[in-house]
Amino acid sequence: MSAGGAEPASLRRLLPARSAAGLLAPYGRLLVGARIRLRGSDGALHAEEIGELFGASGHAQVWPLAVGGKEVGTLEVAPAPETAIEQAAAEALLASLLRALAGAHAQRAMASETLERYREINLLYRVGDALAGTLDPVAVPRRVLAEARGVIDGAGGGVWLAGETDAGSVAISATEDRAAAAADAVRLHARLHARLTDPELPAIVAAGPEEPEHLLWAPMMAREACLGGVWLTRAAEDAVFTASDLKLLTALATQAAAFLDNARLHQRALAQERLEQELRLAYEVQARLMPRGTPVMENWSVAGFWRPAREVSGDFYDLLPLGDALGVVVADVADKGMPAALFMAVTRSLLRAAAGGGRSPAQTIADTNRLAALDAADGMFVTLWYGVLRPDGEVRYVNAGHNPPIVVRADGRVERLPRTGILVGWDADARFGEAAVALAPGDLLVAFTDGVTEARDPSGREFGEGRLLDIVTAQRHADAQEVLAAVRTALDAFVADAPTHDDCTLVVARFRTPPRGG
Amino acid sequence: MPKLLIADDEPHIRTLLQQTLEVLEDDGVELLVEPDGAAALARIRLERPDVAFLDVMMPRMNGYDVCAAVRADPDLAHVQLVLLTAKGQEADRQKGADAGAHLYLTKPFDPDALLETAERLLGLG
Repeated sequence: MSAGGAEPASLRRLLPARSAAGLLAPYGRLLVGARIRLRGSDGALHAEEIGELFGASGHAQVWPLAVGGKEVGTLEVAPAPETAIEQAAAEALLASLLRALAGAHAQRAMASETLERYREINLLYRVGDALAGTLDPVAVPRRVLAEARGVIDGAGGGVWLAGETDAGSVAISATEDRAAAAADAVRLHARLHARLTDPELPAIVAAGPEEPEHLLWAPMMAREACLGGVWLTRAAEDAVFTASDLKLLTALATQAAAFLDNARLHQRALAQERLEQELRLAYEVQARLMPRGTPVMENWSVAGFWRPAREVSGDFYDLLPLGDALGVVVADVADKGMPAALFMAVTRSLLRAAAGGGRSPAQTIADTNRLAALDAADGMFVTLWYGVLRPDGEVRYVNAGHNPPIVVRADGRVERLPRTGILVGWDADARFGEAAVALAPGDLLVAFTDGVTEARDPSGREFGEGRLLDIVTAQRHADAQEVLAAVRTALDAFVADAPTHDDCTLVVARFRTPPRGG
Repeated sequence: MPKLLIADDEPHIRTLLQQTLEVLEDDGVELLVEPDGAAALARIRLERPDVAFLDVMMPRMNGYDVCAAVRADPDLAHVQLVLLTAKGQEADRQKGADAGAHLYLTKPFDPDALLETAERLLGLG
């Protein structure tokens, strides 16, 4: 493949016939009785100059023409010089020939070096073009390995792709046979690491008594991380790899590393996108679990609002028609994200199943708690407020570790509905107390999760119960939907563009003046 | 005996081209080397080579003009012309094609690709 290299070229290449003839011509006039001949190393005549008085050749004197330690041909003068002048002329010719050959050899060596660089530049361009747009992390090193083997003579080779763990690492052999390739690559990879002083540095390792192959290794480094490496091997009886081979393989490996890094980033981005898509779907599923609209309830107007901090939420609220009564649930699972969302779905279903059949709020929550505690993972529990709104304004409720809902009387007085039991899901045998509050026409009941009161503005201040109370008190004559809207508007204005840390849930129930004669 | 002409005014590039293609001499190809466009055209008319590699930017006569002069001569219809240049613009390629060049190679040329092209045009294995 090389056009020249360190090995001297033939006499014909070093000194073209026309140049050789030009060099010999003046000596024909000095060695008038002789015939001067240049022969190649194969003995073939390359150039000839015959003196004017040349008659018979007779005994010839022959000088070897050596360049770069190798004989490329001979200078032959026949008959051999006899006088001191003839001898001096022949020696001057020899010196002139050797100078010309050495110059040509040096020029060819430089040209070979340049052609080698051309070859490398074109190779890197070609590989760059081929890899542009390649986002498959295995295709990139495969291509580089194939290109490297095309330009660096090597019996075999492989690529090692570093994984997060040894088990996640991949070795690809240059061998085409897939079954053999895997075994070959694993064996070679283990062996080559034992031979390298530092796998993050390019290296040439010559064959030794224990190792039947020369090794050429170039790591694939990107952003100071070693993503793996490319190696080539040659049988011990072949030449050891050169510094030029190492430079070229390193350039290819570095180029591959950049593409590989891109490919990996792309795959990570795809995985992230997939996860986000799944979370979006989970949000849609969860959003469908929230009440759609409000059941028509005699003497009550009810409105609810739910907003997850992330795609999915551990908060929920529920409105359960129970004959002429309405069950209202506001709950907060003590976690966020997907585990909380799953536990929320379980709790909601259990509570829905337990609430029917005329059970009291305390029985409903005790049943829900027993089953939830069996399913709950360690540390997974839920605080909830469950109240049953009756058409006469009575509310019987259980407050299982939840922050106390607020009752705002029509005259502006505020009452809290305190806890009557512990968290749901904590202790399967827990007992839950039940309390009651009677709402008069015009009174408001507001149940919420701590995401509302603990929402923060961009400077880090909490929304707080005080703000919530102020809004609700000011709006106490408004309809439930309007009260809810006022709280949401205030909350949105307060939080502005600050990141949301917790889910927000709020339910407002207003006991209306019963119709006349009702 | 097949003949291949190389014309480039840059002596180093000439050496590189010659050294890359000299392996063809083993297949009996005669290499002809010229240092400018006018000398290349005169040699093409005299020796009627099978293939000519011509640099585009040469003194006395550029590669496009040599191409056009060769194409204008029915006796030289067999000469296959390859333009060599550092430029890789599509417009230059088109200009080369319009002047009658068969191929257009950009510098720095890939020695293997150059040799392969020469062998293909000469009909060698």
